[in-house]
Amino acid sequence: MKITLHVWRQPGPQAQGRFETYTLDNISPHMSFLEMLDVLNEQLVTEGKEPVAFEHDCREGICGSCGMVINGRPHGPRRRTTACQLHMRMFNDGDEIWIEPWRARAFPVIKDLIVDRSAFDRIIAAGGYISCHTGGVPDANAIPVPKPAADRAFDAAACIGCGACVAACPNASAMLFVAAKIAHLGSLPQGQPERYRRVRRMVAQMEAEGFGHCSNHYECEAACPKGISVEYIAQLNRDLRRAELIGEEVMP
Amino acid sequence: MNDSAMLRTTVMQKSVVAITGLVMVLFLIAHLSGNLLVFAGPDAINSYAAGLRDVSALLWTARIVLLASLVLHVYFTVRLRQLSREARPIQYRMQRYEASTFASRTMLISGLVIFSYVAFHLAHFTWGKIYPQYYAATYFLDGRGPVHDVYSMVVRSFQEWWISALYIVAVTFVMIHLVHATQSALQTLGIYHKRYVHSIRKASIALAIVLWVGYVLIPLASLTRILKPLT
Ligand code: HEM
Ligand code: SF4
Ligand code: FES
Repeated sequence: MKITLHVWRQPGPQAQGRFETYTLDNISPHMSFLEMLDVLNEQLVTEGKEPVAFEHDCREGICGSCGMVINGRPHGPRRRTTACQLHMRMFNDGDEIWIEPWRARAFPVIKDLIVDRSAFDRIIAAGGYISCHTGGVPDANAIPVPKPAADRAFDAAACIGCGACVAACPNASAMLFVAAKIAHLGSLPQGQPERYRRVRRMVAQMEAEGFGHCSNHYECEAACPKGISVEYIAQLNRDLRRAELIGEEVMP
Repeated sequence: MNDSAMLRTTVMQKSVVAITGLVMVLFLIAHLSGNLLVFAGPDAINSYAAGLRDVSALLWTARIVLLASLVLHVYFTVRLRQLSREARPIQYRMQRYEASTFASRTMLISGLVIFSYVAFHLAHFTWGKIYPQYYAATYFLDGRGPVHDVYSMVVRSFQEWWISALYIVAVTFVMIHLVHATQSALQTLGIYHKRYVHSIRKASIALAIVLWVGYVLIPLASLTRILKPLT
């Protein structure tokens, strides 16, 4: 396959960025998108140029580090697929591909396609945890968890923190990510003691980071590689209103 | 706002937008039901209008609630939109939308058009400033005496083509606003279940269309003289 790439190049956080155009002649349709970028980088290094910086780790769709906007879609054109799991067979010979970093004030570009997502870490630190005793390993199944609650928590816990929801949202809102954590921890008995304090703190941190608000465009859900549902945003809204109107105490 | 203020988060501000928006949706339904009485003839709509003025305490309560809803709705939507524009300082070179709609992405524009039209609409039908001669008409209601002739005011006004044109344009913007609005408000209020969410979203669009048809019928019937003025 022959591919023309327009890649966002930005040497550093303060530097001015711009698109650079590259052509690649011998791309196999079996390559993953990141392998295609590896080929590009080898070519750039051979030519004595700076390779394109992009983030990646697991390359199997579970770590959440490989985010980039490909032809206007976070993680590219295939639904429920991370950039690393995207294959070149999704494209046609002769295609032009635009590659951009996540664009959000709360995710400043570090270099080229890599953005600083530590805002997510700070949101988690603000309340995305449960408190428990350390020490001996607790008995498995010591706390009964109803199956529907376990399923709900499990679905929400599929979030890999990639930030595609923010990238896709016209408002650069982080509501889907935060809602996934709220629903994950708030659905389990272990998450109840801090349920209402958690939602207040995580939302406060989310807003302090400069993410936008939720307009219910539902682009996040469509872009999420793990299919996290906006149903959890509805839960976040309910929990936050409960916390603000009634208080953080958890009634039995 | 200080840190403990209940409305400091966008989520709570958006809840106010949702509740005030739904109040206005309910008003649109009630207002249309009343307006459609023009098709039942001058007696029906004029006695309805006179009846409304009789229960003035109720009427004024409704007016104040509506005005407060409109003000809060506009204040918070404009504020939220401004905040979210700042959340993405650099735009994408290429952005493909998959789930959002034309309606959802133009809420501020449709809203601002509605807002300007509301002022004109009140000046026209409530304060009688646009066609004072049509506003001044009276009607003799059996068993009651002379009342404000709403029927003739409405029909004559709408026979001025520009009044009808403006009205239809405004009602179209209301429809665009509502295609996104009702289901969005329910989502904001936390009403979601996978079993009925798709029905809610379809019903929301259906409501927008039904209201559009209902509102547009009156100027169309006046222009085509299906509705005729009394004198
Ligand atoms: C007939 C009058 C109106 C009705 C029935 C109405 C209804 C609604 C409803 C139900 C929502 C959804 C709220 C939610 O998602 O939680 C909404 C959103 C919105 N409305 Fe209105 N509205 C009206 C007038 C206006 C006006 C005058 C403006 C002027 C600024 C406006 C601007 C907006 C905006 C920008 C949103 C989206 C808020 C967001 O960013 O999430 N609306 N409206
Ligand atoms: S909700 Fe989905 S898109 Fe957002 S961070 Fe989690 S996995 Fe990524
Ligand atoms: S590299 Fe880990 S999810 Fe893509």
